[in-house]
Amino acid sequence: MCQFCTIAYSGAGIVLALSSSTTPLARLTSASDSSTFAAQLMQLQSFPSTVKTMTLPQIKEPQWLVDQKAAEKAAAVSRSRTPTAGQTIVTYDVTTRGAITASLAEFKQQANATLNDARGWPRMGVGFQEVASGGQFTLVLSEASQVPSFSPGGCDAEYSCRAGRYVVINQDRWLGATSSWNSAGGSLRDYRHMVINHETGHWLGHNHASCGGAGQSAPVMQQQSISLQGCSFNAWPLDSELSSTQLGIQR
Amino acid sequence: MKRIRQSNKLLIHNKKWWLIGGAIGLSVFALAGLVGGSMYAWQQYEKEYVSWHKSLHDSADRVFALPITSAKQKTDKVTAFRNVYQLARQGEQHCHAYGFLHWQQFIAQVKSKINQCQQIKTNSESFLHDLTRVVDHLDSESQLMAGFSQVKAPAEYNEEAWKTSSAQWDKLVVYLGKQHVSASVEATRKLALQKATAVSDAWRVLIATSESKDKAKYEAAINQLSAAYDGLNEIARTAEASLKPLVDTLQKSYKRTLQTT
Repeated sequence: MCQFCTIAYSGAGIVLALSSSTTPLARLTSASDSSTFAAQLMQLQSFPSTVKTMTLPQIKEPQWLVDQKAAEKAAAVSRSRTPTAGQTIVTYDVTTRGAITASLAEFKQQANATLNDARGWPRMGVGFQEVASGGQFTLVLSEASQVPSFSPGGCDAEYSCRAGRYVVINQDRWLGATSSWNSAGGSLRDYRHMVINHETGHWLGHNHASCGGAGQSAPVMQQQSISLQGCSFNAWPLDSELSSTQLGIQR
Repeated sequence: MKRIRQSNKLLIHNKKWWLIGGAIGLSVFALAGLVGGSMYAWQQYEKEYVSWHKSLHDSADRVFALPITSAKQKTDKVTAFRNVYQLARQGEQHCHAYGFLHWQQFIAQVKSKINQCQQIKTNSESFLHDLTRVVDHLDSESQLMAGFSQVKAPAEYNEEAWKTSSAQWDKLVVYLGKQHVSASVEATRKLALQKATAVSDAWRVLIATSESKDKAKYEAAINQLSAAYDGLNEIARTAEASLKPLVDTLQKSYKRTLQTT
């Protein structure tokens, strides 16, 4: 009986062995390319790329720093434009009156740039230097309603003016020029050049001038804020205006 | 009388042989049934684990082939890997040879078949374990990412936006401190917490120095903020480095389980 069993089991084993030779396992092969396996899985990782997008944002400088830097720049410009030998040096200090919303630093910087611009009064051999106090004249940025408080001079709240040693720039005009200037397409920067040169021109000894003829450039001493009288805008003194009774400079 | 006795004796003798013959016949019949049944059972045994193994193999390959060109597809793929994980778990019920079959293991071919199944099972468990580690790792990183995603960049970083940013980073620090992540992501979490705290602190310093209008301190605070943001790259590097060994291990177990049988 046991011999019979052994024979039978052997037979079963042989049959199993034969059947296993065709096992489907042997046919299994991977469809995945193992070389891309790791790359594929690494691509599933989103966290590092999310963190990498968190870079330092473009920080907008606070207004106080903008003002401070502008003031420093203005001071540097002023120093760099200090008149050289042979030039008449005109010193001026800067102050404000009333509630000022415009940037004082920008005012200082642009006023100094205008006064020392080669197209302007320096053509008659003068240079302008800002000083902390005790300047030959005082450049004032004034709240519009405070402009009439300057005397003598008959200043009004509408426009800028010069009153004695004070060259007064009306804040409203500084920030927005005039409607006639704007409607004619003049730029704000040119208006600022014009108003600084015009009011400083008064301090230099000039009175108002009139348009020399239709189509000509307006004298800087013309009241261009009010009317061009047929002239074209001009922010810089004409050659005919290059003189100063204040400084004793003749044409 | 003597003839009758001889005849009875012959009948008894023949009956004995019939009984012996019948018994042998029945034994042969039973044995043939046993052999046939065993063969069928072992074929089913093999068929089951081969079928399961093929399903696992095909499923894994299908998941690996899924495209991942968008964030959603990435999420879908990780979910699909979880399904492969479920399929792999089904392998745990295979390879058990019941009592009726168990005793046949002395047959070399049978023993080999059981060994093969158990080898596949062992490898699959290893694959399952490694796959789980990778998926858990990615899930844990998603947790961290959810926190970082709450930090929104404003259109313009003016002073008002600084305060918003500062508050968002403060919130992120609290969030990261509360997260429980897988062991392989813990180092990344700790580093993220440290670096996010540095950014949060830097924003606070910037706001304070700006309020004091001290240019030198303000510029130092900007540098501090810049350095803090640069430090975030270290989190990305650590995260990438922490996943790599898990992926390499999974790749090995994948090859062992699904490619080399």
